[in-house]
Amino acid sequence: MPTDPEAARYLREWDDRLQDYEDRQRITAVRQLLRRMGRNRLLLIGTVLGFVVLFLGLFGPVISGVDYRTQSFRNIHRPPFSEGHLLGTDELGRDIAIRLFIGIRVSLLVAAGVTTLALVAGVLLGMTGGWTGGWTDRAVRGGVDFVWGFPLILVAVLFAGGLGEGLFPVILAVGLVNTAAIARVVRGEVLVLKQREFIEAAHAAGVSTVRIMGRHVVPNILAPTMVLASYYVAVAVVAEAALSFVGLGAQPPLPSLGRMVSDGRNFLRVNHWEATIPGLAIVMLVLSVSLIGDGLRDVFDPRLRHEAKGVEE
Amino acid sequence: MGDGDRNNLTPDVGELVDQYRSARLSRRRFMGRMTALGFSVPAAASILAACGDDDDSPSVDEPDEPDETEVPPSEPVAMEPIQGGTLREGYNRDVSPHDPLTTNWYDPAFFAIYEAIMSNDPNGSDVPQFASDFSVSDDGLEYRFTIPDGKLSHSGGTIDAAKVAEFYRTVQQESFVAGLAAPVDTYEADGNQVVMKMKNPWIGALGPHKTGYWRIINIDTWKQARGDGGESTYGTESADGTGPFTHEAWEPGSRVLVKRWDDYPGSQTPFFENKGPAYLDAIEWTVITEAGQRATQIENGDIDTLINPAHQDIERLESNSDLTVTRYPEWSGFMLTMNRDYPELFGDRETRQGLSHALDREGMVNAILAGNGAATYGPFPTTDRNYEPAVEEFNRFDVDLANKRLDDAGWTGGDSVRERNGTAFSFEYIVEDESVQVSVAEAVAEQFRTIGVQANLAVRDRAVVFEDQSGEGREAAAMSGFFWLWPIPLDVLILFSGSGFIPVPNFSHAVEPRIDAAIAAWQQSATAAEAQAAASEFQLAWAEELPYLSIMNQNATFVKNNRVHGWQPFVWNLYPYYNDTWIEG
Amino acid sequence: MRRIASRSLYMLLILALSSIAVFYAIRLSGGDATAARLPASASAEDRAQFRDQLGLDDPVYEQYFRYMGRVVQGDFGSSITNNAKISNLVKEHGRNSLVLGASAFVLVFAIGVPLGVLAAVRRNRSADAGIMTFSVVGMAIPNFWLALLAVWLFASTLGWLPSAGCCGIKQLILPASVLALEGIALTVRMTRSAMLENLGADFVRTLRAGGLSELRVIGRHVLRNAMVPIVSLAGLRIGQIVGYALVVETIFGWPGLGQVLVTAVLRRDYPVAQFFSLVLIAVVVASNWLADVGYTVVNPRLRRA
Repeated sequence: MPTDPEAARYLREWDDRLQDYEDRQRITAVRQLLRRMGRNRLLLIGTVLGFVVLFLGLFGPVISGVDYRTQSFRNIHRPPFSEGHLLGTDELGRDIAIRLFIGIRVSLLVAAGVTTLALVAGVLLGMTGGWTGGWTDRAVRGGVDFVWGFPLILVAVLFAGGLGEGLFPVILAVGLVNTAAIARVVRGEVLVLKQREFIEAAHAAGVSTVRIMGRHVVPNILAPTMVLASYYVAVAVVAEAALSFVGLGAQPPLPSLGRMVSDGRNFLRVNHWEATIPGLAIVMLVLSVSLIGDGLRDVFDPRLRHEAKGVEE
Repeated sequence: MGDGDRNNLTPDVGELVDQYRSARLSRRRFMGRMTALGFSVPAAASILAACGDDDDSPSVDEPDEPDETEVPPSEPVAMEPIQGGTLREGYNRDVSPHDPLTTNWYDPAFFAIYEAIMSNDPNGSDVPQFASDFSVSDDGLEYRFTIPDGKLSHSGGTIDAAKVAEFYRTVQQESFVAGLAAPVDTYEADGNQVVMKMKNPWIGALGPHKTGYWRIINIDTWKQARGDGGESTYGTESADGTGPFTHEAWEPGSRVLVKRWDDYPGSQTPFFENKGPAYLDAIEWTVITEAGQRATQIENGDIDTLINPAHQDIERLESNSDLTVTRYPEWSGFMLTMNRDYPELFGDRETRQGLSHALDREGMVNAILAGNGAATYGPFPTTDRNYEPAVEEFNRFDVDLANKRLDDAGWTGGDSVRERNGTAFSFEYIVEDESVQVSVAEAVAEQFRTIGVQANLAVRDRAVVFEDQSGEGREAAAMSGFFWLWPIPLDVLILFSGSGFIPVPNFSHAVEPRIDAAIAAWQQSATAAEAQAAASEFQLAWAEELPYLSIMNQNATFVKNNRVHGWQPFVWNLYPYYNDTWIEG
Repeated sequence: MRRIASRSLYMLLILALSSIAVFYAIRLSGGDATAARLPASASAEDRAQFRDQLGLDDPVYEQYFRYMGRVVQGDFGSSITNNAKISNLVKEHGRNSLVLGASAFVLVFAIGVPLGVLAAVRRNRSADAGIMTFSVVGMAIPNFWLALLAVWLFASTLGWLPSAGCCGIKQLILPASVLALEGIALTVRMTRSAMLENLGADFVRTLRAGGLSELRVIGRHVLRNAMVPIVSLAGLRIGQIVGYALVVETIFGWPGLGQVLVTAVLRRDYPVAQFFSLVLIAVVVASNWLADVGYTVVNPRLRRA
């Protein structure tokens, strides 16, 4: 640490300039990124698909205007395009379309909860571990390895055993596993970044850790983290559906996609749509998220390499 | 795809009953048509009884009509039984340990491994099974069962009158259903006879002894298998009964295997054609809890016989010429518990009646049971021999009346959730995780919602559902639907509604003096007329006071491949016996 | 070698921690052991005595050490819902799970690798596009839904295969395929990218220049190199299969460890839930360790470290 105030001031200025440079780079990069995104087919398909599903989940219930609980014992097991029921009805004569929309909402809600939890906790843990090193890092790594040892479904089953059935334990369980996944990657990225000259220099200049984190580290780990997060959104959607299917997730009458498949499975020979429609919705949701993830990776990877070169030169 | 035409049982029966009542159909013809519809003879007879049949009822003589009432519609008798083979039977529940003394549910294997001292024959009469003979004293206070010499258990132990009496005494001490035979005082051995002494004469005394809980085991083996801490290997790793098959493998969640006992000393049961060791080499039960897969398995030939396919698959199975479907209106009722520990919710009759009127029972039978059952307004199935039709005056589906009852009871705000004295009408509704029960619960909860009552569903595994609903200190009122199979409904309903069985199995914790009085009258009825009077009063009291809400009754359904012979379940015994069963090559 | 030894120690540590976590988690899950084993009519005193007998009121860490002591001696206890001996359950269901898991594992590589190679060799052609689409969709289809569709098609509609049951080849086909699908999809991707990486390597150009036939170049040299990361990470696939087996076994009524575990948790049958969780975690940790060791063995840089 230089004690000379002149040198320190100089270094701080250098840091500011570096920041400006990085910002400029980023603006250009964002423009290039958008262009590349526009050209990326996976991303395009994924995004379109995602918007369709999102639209159904957000506005479907409003447009439909039906209550997802309303039953009609005289109108059970109707196939799609029946009178008054676009996607038909289930075993209690409830409208499948509205239940599907609500089910998508539930999936999105769980995915949002899980991903927020995993991103916040995962990034914090990973950064702390990677940056401070020593025992803190060992604890983080141990914790991550520890959670990693449990199959996701098992964690969820154990949580459901402890907290009871419902969406909350599902969010917590999947969130925990995803946190470990994100912390693991963030830690690795931070470890690499830490060795880099510009960070070392900033550090040497006496730039505060918080500032280094906020200005240099976070922006640089953002891209890989977002790519990873989009994969884990898919994991969250599937896990919620699977747990609701087994009876540990959403409780009736709240429709969840997994629960709908589970209810419909006994009527495959009577009206298979009760199970196939919600199943298709899950596939669409997962497909859109993983296509977005693939696309993002394709788009981000070259940028990362490019930027690294730019800074080092 | 209409739901109306799938429901082909109830309308047909209704039509037949109408024809019979208007004397367009003879009794014999009626019975014939009923059996053709898949009803057993006794079931048809009980329907006849329920619609007011007695000796002087109108009937048209048709002497040239072949007598269809004596023999159930079964396979041609000309074929010779074939020795050997394994019967593969699909079963809709997980299996319980093969221990009559501790189980809370008995499975079909109990009818292969064990014998009861008495049994019902296909006509519903009492016949000896393990005993060779029985008699009742004139005052009805003493029953004597003769145990023949040379009776053995699978382990080779001799089972004489003393051993049987010792076993029954153990049932009195250990079994949680011992109260079903409360009027029995003592069991003693007297030479080769088991003597059962009664506290009071009771016409229903044999009933419990014909069930799985009183099936005879070698009590010595049972005691040896018992470790400290209540753990026992009896019923899981071994079982020691007197039936024609021996316990071979018991794998919960998966399967049960029994093998023919070659040293089986034979049976006294009069309606068995095969008096010696069984024809089959083995029977394997496969647990198929996935409702939708049961029908598929028997259609594909993966199993030979099936107990309780999913209701929506029955029509398809019936149209399959390789299969025979039999449906019995046994008591297998859905009832809702209303926990009286929450008097602010369920304490007053008016409120309970309000809830009851909100339920469209017929609609639920058609939708959820695909018509394979009947709405119940009282505790008994409509086909029971003691059924009291006057219960149908109560609990009719009438939403306006339901709302009026709740208004009168002081519940305000029918638009959303009602309130009374600051308490919202909202409670937890615990239900077993089984597809039909969850559907019923969802349907009921939604119907409650329309009258401003909020029932929050909590789905639980069957192993914990009763524990949860009877658990102390629950914040919410518990409510659950469950079903039970039992030959004589009243015997088991005593446990659910008698004030002496609080907290369990009287899950509603209801003390109803009228019901207690009817139970006492039933357990002291010495004649059939007294028993009927007690049963009628019991049903009327139930329908009016509503210790539980009766909803509907589903038929017990049995399916067999036509290659299987001598597998004839009938209404009084819950499961088939396997002594006569054989499979075509 | 030092690395392998330290990883092994680390694995044991994780395993011990897991057992503690599972033990506490399951104790927290409520559920009264006395309710399951004693008749419902048992009095409060009976219950208290029973709890005392089993030591259920002792501090959890005491119970933990007592429990682990018994487990080490081979006494796993028995189910509280149906008295079945846990050692028997493990034996019967463990065998079934092993059969199912091993079949799925074999399928993952027997199908995934050839498809991945094909996609790489026919890069950017229709076969590649088809295989990669299959891979993307395969990862998006939830296995429980796939299971239903498979049963519906192959059992209900065509009648070719049994819809559920155990334990013959015919009963095995559907659950094993469903269980393997996601692994196949993943292996296809990994194989393809590993192949592509190696196809562009210098040594390939040298070999080709040396006049070696394309088939030999790919079959003998490229594939061998490409397989290194795939095989060394095979352990991870095991962990994945174990996790999914929980759901797939339940749907197909395949009597394996996963099915028993799910049922036990739902029934609050804590001795079974506890032991079976430990077994599954041990399998996963061991397979992760295997992956680790595998990676070390094929990666000389790490071996030296």
